[in-house]
Amino acid sequence: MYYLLRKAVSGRSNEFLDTEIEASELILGAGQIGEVTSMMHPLQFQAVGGGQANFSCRRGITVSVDGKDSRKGFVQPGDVIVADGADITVMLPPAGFDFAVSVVVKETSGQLFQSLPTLLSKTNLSVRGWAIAFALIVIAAGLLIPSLSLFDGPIAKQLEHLPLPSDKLWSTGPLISAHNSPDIGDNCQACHTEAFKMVEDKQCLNCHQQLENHIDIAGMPVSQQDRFNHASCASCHREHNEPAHLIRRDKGLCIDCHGSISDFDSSSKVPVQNINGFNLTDHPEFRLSLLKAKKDGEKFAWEIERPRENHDQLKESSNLKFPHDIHLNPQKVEANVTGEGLQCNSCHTLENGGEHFVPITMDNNCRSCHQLNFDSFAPDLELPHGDVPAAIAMIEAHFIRQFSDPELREKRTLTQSRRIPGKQAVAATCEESVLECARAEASKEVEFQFADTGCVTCHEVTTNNASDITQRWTLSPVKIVDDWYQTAKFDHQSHLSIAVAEGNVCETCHQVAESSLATDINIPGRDNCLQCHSDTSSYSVELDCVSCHAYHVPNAGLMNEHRGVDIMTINSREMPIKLGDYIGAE
Amino acid sequence: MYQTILEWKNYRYLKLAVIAAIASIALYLSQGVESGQPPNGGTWQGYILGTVGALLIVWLSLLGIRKRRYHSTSGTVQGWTSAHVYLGAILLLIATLHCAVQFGWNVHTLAYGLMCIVVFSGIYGIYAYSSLPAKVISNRQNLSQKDWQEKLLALDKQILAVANGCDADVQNLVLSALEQTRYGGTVWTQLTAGDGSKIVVPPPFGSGKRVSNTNQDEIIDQLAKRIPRANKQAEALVLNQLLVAFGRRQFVLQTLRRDIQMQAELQIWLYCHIPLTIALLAALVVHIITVFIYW
Repeated sequence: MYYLLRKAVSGRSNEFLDTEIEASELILGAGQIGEVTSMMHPLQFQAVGGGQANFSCRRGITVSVDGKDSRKGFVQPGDVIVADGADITVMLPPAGFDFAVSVVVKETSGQLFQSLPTLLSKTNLSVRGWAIAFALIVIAAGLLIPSLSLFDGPIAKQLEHLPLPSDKLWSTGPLISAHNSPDIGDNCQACHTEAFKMVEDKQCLNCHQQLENHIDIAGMPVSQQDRFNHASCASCHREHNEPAHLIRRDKGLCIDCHGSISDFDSSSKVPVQNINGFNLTDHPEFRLSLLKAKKDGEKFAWEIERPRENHDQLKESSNLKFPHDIHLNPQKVEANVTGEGLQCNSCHTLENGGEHFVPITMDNNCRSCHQLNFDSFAPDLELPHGDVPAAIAMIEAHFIRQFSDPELREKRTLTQSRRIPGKQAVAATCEESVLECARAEASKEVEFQFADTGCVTCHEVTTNNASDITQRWTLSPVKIVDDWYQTAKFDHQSHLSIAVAEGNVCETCHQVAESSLATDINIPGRDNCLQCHSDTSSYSVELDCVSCHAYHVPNAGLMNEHRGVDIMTINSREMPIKLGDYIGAE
Repeated sequence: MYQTILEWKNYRYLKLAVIAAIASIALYLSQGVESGQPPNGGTWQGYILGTVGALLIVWLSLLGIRKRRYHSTSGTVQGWTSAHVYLGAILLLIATLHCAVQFGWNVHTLAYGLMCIVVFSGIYGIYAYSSLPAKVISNRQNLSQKDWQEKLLALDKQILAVANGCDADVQNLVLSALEQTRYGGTVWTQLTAGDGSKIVVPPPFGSGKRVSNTNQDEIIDQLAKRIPRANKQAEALVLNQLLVAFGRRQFVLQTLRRDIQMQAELQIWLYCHIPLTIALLAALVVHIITVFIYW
């Protein structure tokens, strides 16, 4: 379409300037294709032929066409439109044009072009408007909408499924991975059950029902139980830390009580000592857990004692005879498979936990070298281990059989047996009766086993000199300590890297190469650990109380009982975690 | 003797801010020794840093009120502003130590983020107020913006008068350039000294459609093209007069746009600083309430 825009020349009422515009529509106004600076609101024409056109204004704006106000309509040559800022006359279009208008601009300030804001305050920026809007958005999105999570009504349930801000926006940090399950990680109220109230112990014990206490509080005087009544789970366990970890690692965790614990329980048999750190002055020597054989009439039991004495004043009383030095000397003892000297791990195998070792047993660790055969004519026959009457009966039965069988008796007579090292030379001939020969030989063998180099090699043997050999000997029961520090934990695995020379990894801490007696205690004490972990040293490897000690200890009673939390009450509430969801209820 | 707000009372508030910074750092570091948990806003040190930070935010926000109370006796506005600057800057440190650089998608980091924007916009404000006024005066050559607008108006009248002696083609061209001149406008246009000027160049020199006349380049180019083609010496002289006038107009418009731009640069930070301060106060309330809702 071709439009003609005729405008009166400024200051000369009889002169006009024509502008030819090729466009689908003619829009008059400031900044429009048909530039009429004084018209703030654009007016649009669309030619329909014959010099006529449809016109329209923006919503809310009207013009007067021949005295009649309208927002849109139809004009033809001769019509006069009075618009804001200009008078427009529709002309008969000259040849080649589809529509023509003549515009007389109403005089304004004399400036020909549109005035635009020259200050930010004149734009649509509004300090107050933005301030109110931002504040409302923050309060709505950060507080009001997430607050709906606090209510348990149907509306809150409906909103849970909408992509709206939730109370997770209030989280102050990550949960530890164990707590970051859908039931807890996505449900703040699994723990925060009441607004403006700190998480209570029952929320923890709701899941951790089998958690044990620190000490048996029920056995303490009521006046002293108060100390524990003030300690909540949150006293030691803090969630939403970053980096995420649950247990306090500071000294105050323990020394708040243990720093003055000597004032605390004066009734203890072994006086407790204050602990204020890990160094020579603030931490006492470790208390070994030693086994003591207790015999009360016919009753026999091992009891654990934890004496205060220094380690060099203590002896292990396992009733075993075992020289570490000989066994580790390759000149004296060789492994029977490889022919090489024994290593610590020839006998000691670390358990999966990395702290304790698989218990030493005769069958697993000794028998491969220390077979219990006793008769060179029956080298494959071994005595039963751990049963003295059975062993003596076996020896007697064996020799009765040997001397009652003419073939075996003849064989013993004719054959010069090869003597087994460490075993006595068995009599080859006997001229007495079968029973006498057998008993004499059995008596000799039993004497040998219990008095010379058999059982007595490893066991403590006592004799009452009874004539009946089945009643004459008693072997003290053997039990090796398997947990030297019962109230502490230690990771052998992480310490295996500190060997100072090849081949003696264990001897870095355990001085067994010079240990000739089984009563020697080769377990390192405090001084050994302080070499690397003293908290007063500038070069200390960091160690906190809970690196070695646990708060929740076995046989101290359940936390639930101390907290006075009724398990039935707990169970009546909905458990945040349903174990069946994870392990598969079958 | 004149003192800037930064130098107020021999840097009184800078010294106060440095002391506050040292105390805050010491308090923060004390968390690492025996606090029992990693440094965070929930330790007693964190609570102190948070409380101090929150009180500072509220107090800093009161500057806007103090400025409007002309009869107030609570210190001079210059003193308040000097304290506002230094203590506002130190708020960055206090809040960072309070949260121990722990961030997440939560309302607490929202408050921290808003605070950062507010503080950094304030720092920009200090830069703008200290560097731009001299440039504004230099650009305006000791005249006001209104003076330059009147210069432009006078120039336009002069151009119109000269254009009246030209043929319709040149008159149309000149009128189009004058009518479609733009300076100022939207926030973006003001800040970038944008020039949305247009011109319609009728055939045969143009397409008859509106084209850009940024920096008056198109009209100057069109006039320059027409001078060699002038049929008469007089026409060439008029065209030359127009060319000179539009060259002058180009400079006046540049001055005006640069002035508008610098005025905008002087003001824009307040449009960020003040609304976000209000948003920060809201976020601070939300932060405090929500921390204790899920205690």
